[in-house]
Order: sequence, then C-alpha cells, then structure tokens
Amino acid sequence: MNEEFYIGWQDKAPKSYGQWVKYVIWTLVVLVPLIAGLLVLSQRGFIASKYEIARLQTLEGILITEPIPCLKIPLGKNKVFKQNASFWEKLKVTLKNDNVGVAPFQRILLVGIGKKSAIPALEALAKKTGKSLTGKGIRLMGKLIYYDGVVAFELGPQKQFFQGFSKLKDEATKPVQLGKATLRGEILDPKCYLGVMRPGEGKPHRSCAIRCLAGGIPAFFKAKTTKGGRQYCFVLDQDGRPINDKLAPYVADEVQLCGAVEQWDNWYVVKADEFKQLMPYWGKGMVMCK
Amino acid sequence: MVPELRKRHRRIWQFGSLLLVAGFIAAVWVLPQAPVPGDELKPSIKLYAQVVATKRVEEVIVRLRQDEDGHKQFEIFHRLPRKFPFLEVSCNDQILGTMSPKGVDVFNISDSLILQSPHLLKLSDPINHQTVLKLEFP
Amino acid sequence: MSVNYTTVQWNRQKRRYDRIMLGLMALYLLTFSFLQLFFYPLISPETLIIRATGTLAFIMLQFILCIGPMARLDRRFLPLLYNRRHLGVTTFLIGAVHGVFNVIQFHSLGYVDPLLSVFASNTHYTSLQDFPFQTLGFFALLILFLMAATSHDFWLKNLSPRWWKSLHMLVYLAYGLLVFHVMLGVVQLEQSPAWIGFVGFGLLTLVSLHLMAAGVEKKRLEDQMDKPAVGEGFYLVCSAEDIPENRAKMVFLDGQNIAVFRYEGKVSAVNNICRHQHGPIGEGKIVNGCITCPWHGYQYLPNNGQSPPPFTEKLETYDVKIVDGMVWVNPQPYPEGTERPAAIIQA
Repeated sequence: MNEEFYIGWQDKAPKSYGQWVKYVIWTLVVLVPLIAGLLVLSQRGFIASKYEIARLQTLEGILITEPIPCLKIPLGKNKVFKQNASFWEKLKVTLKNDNVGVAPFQRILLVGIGKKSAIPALEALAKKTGKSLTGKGIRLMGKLIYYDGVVAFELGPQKQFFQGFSKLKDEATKPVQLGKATLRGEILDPKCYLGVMRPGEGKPHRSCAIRCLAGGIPAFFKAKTTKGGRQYCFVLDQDGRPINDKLAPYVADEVQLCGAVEQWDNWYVVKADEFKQLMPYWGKGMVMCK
Repeated sequence: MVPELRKRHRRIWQFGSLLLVAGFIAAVWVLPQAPVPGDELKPSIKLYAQVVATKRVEEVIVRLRQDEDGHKQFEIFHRLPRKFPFLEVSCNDQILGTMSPKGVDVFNISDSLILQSPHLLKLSDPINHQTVLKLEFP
Repeated sequence: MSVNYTTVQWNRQKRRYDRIMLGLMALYLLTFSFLQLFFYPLISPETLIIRATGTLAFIMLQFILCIGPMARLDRRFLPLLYNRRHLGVTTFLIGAVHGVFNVIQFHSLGYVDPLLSVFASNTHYTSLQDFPFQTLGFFALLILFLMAATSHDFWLKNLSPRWWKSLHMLVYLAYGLLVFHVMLGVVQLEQSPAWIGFVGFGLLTLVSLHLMAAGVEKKRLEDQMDKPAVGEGFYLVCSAEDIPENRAKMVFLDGQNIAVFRYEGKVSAVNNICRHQHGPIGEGKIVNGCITCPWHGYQYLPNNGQSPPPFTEKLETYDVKIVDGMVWVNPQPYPEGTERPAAIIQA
C-alpha cells in the first residue's frame, strides 16, 4: 500500500499516476473527434430554406391586408392587366380541365420584423396615408424568405418599407372551394420554417413558433401527403379569421386538422373546424374527419 | 468524504439511478412518430404514357409526354440553385403554373396550345426578373 | 493550501490540466463545426453554435461526474480530480453560451420578455411528451452558475465545507435535468438512434460507476466500523505492524472519525476529516513529515494536527498508546491543533 502518492501542487505527478493520466488523455484525444463525428453524422439534416438576410429589395404587387397579409405578384409579364376580360376567367377557359389550380398571381406572405405580424406596420401606414390599403398596387421593401416555392417577405426597415403606390390594379381572384379535407402534420410559424431558422420546426423550435403565432404571424401547416411529400396550407377558423391562440397548444405536435380547404391563388387555406393531437401511441388508428 | 456525505451520495444514486433510467425509457417511449398521411390538397396529374422528347440542361430534365388522344404534358425534374424563391413555368408565353426550385412537376398543355407547335418552354424567376431556362420542343 | 485568497493559485499541474482541457475542447468544437459545415452546409450559424456548445457542455458534465467515482475505484484517476473545479466552471461557461444563444434565437424579438417566454410559451407542464424542455435547461444552467460562482475556496470556507458540498451535490440534479432537456428536446426532433444511444450509454456508465463506488465505499466504511476491545477509555485499533510506514489506519471510535498514522517508528492519531473539503486524511500519506490529504494536498503535522506555517488549518488530535505492539486510541478529542506525544513503537 506504500506505493506512490499523488499531490496536485507538486510540479510532477508520480510515474504511475502520470502514465495513467497520459493513457486517459490519449483515449480522450481519440474519443473526442469520434463523438463529434457520431453526433454530427447522425443528424437528420437541414432543409434548403432561405432567408436573404443581407439583401433588401423592393417588390411590387397588390396588397391584401386581411386575414393573411400578403402581396399578390402578377404572373406572366403582367399580361393580366393588359387585357379586358378577367384574366382568371380567361385562364379557366383556356385551361379547361387540364390544369386545375393555375393561378395568375403568386401570393407572398408579409411578416414583420422579429416574431411579429406585418399588420401593425400596415395599419400604421394606412393611418398615415389616410387610405384603405387592401387591393391597392404598392411597392414594399424588405427581405425575402422562401422554401419549397412558398415565399414570405419581411417588411423593413421600420419606417422605409413603404416605397410608394404602383399602378397595378387588383384582379380579385375568387377562392376556389376544394371541399372538406383531413390533414395530418405539424403547425408551424411560416417565417421561421421558410428560412429564418434551420431547423424551424419540431420540438426545439416549439416555443419560438408559439411566440411567432402570438405575435400574429399566420399559422402555417405542413401536411404529409400519401407519397411521402409535403404540402402546405394556412390555417384559419370556419369564418376565415385567424385562430392562432387556439392553435398555439398544438404547435410542433403531430396534429390532425379537419376543415374546408380553399385555394387562394397559389395558396391553400384550411378553415379548420376540428383539430386534435395525434399521440404517439394511438396516432395510427386515427379516423379521417367526416 | 465524511461518512454522512458518502451515505448521501449512495442514497442519491440508488434512488436517482432508478429515476433516471425509468425517465429515460419513458422519454424514448413518448418520442413522436411520423404522422399517417392525410388528404392531398393538390390534385395529382396523371402521367401520359408516351415520351415524345427529352431534353436536359444541367440539373433540369424535361420530358414532353403524350397520350393516345394527342394530349400533351411537360414532366420536369429539376434541381436549381436555392436563389430562386419560386419559378414561373410558361409555354409559348402562356402560364402553365409555378414550381419550387427543386422537385418533380407535371404541367398539362391546353388544347389551344397544342396546336401552336413548336412549344417554347420557359422557366423564369418573376421576383428577380430573370429567365432561368428556355427549351424548344417540336 | 491557502493563507490568503487569490483568484487562482496556479501551479504547474493546474496549468497543464487547463491546457489539456482547453485543447480537447477546441478539438471537439473544431471537429464538430468542420464536419457540420462539410456534411450539412445548410445549417444556420446560430444552430451550429447552439448544437456545438450544447453537446460539448453535456459531454463535459458527463465526464466531470465520472471523475469522482473513478477516483474512488482507482486512485490513479486522482489527478483528474485535482483541478476538477476549472473543468466545472468551464462547463458552465460553455453551457451559458448555449443558453444565451437559445434565448436570443427562440425567445427574443416577440411581444413577451425573452426570459418570461422560456417559461410561458410552451405551457404543457403536465405532459411528458410536450414538456417545456427549455425550462429544464434553464434550471440546470442556474445550478451550474451557483456552483461556478461559489467554486472558489473563499466560498468553501465561508459556507463551511458541509454546506458547500451539499450545494455542489446539486450537480446531480443538474445532470438529471439535462438528460431530460436533451431527450424531450432535440432528440424528439432528430429521433436519431445514435443520439438516444449516446445519452443512454452515458447515463448507464455514470449510474454504474456511482453504484460501484458506493458499494466499495460502503465496504470500506464497514471495515472501519468494527467494534474493537475497550479499556480505560482506550480502544484497541490494530497491531502497529498492520499500519504501513507513513500511512494510516482509519477507524470509527465512539462517533469519532480517526486516522492513525505510523511514521519514523511512532504512531499518532488525528481527526480523519480534512478541513479543506472534508477529504479522507487517512487515505493520505506522510510526505516530508506532513500528513498530506489525497484530494488537494492539504498538509498537517501528525503530532499536533496543525498545518505547517504559514497555513492555519488544524485537526483534532487524540491520545495513542502501544501495548505489546498493539495500538490503542482514546477517542476523546483534544481541541484542534493540540500537541500530543506520539506513541513509540518498541523495536
């Protein structure tokens, strides 16, 4: 028992201790990069969403303020405005039954800076200009956020986002009723999911998404399709009003939504009348909505 | 360590081990599972049987397809840079629809357009005012 | 050992310890970031920082908690214990970077105060699956902060080693909280068997080490608790031959925890509890005439229990006698630092 004795404040540790510690250190030198590699390589990866954080640009379109603030960008070289008949009607005629759902406009979601809706900024602008803004041609400055063909636009900087009115005139496109559907997937906030955060979904992001919904950013739903793909829609109540407060408890969970689905240009909107959480152990037996 | 502290360590770990292991198992048990799919929002378009022409430009492959009645459609496989928020797809300046920079999309060509051959397929980025791709099909 | 307080009493081994620690941390962070950017270039910089620091802090805490039982099971791990507090404080700092980035990323720029948002956003406190896992991380970080803030010997002395140790035992709670912070947080998103396996393997290793050390300690303690023969206030401890030169035999007599040292043909008895962190003096050794604690090298003279000047720590002393080669100790303690004559071993 009277072997070497270790004292920390001495300059050198006894041989047996020093040798042992050396083994431990070399083990760690090998183990540390292996652990880092294991943890990195077993991640599921990140989606190719994008937030053009360093690029301010101006978009021209038709402003819609409610219930989901957006900018309608006309497609096809603004041809829609050069013709007399409603482009939408014409399109439907030319397309017959071929291409259900081709829209003359691309809707771009408007959001505020941070975890906030664009509505307060737009309301302040309406007050300042003394005009109702919805349906007006407008030029807005901000930053693009996009993924999977869904685009959002963060208005800013605060006092310069309004770049003037434009001559674009609204072609009021009517919502297309697609009937009642059962959707399963995750309630998200579109701002983070579409590019501000990677990952902007799932449990780690839950509180952030709740903050965003509480800040008035429209509720967004990522639904799983039978082919294993994704489809997206915005969620409103049966009367077409935001229900962020009711959805907040379900954010980032696997949820079943039931409701009437409408197509607003390139967007899908579900007017949900029922939503429930799919618990992990009984999710598989869930029945579809009536 | 004084015996009292040793005893506390022992108690903590005897009790804590059970709690930790049970909690760990419970946490694995409640891991969320992938949801069962629901309804499709976008009506799926049936692929026509015959491939009339195939063209490839870098990461984009376009097939012009045709069915027995002479109806035509474009099937587009694409993997374009992330810099395009969305892309407008048109044929002879008529809009067929929009798509994201990556994926597989099918666009039917209307009867009036079928007559206007050749078909000039164009992918453009309306936000950045940029034509991404032009392809001519017979 | 200390006379007055300085921020860190540097010595060669502490410096080497810290250098190796920082080197290994840099190795981890660099490998993690490099692989992350190489294989997953789409990761956002904030996520990279959050994941790199989060995983590193968790691994470091796991390692720290293994050191104690490993050193109990094999003394050769004692050098890892010596400067463990620097490892602990660094773990807190890494954890704090993780925490601050998370609060900025997920909770700021909303309509609610970011810290309030940590607690008030997700309110499923009664659900295991949906539990607000960020609050667990918050409390774990708070514990690590309290420990880091009181890690200096100033606090050890002023809180008393007993309370200080109790406070620092909260680290086990912090570890438990972090296991669930990880399992109910990022693992629910990643769902990776490797991540689950990593946490599970670490947990099992730690639990086994602690239970094994507890078993060994219990046996050692029972050996010391043997009821010896008694006469005239003295208890029979063992034969003088049974104590190796410059080492001690530890016994419990009449509620007193005593270390009986043999050195230079003599035997002395002092209290077995080091005044620094309540380390086991009796597992120490007499070096240059001083009893030296195995934990941090605090020293005492065997005949009077006093630390050599200028140090001021003192242990209680006891009367010892040797009859027919057998060591007898009177467990009636003398006040700390009282000189007692050593018993002479007859040749």
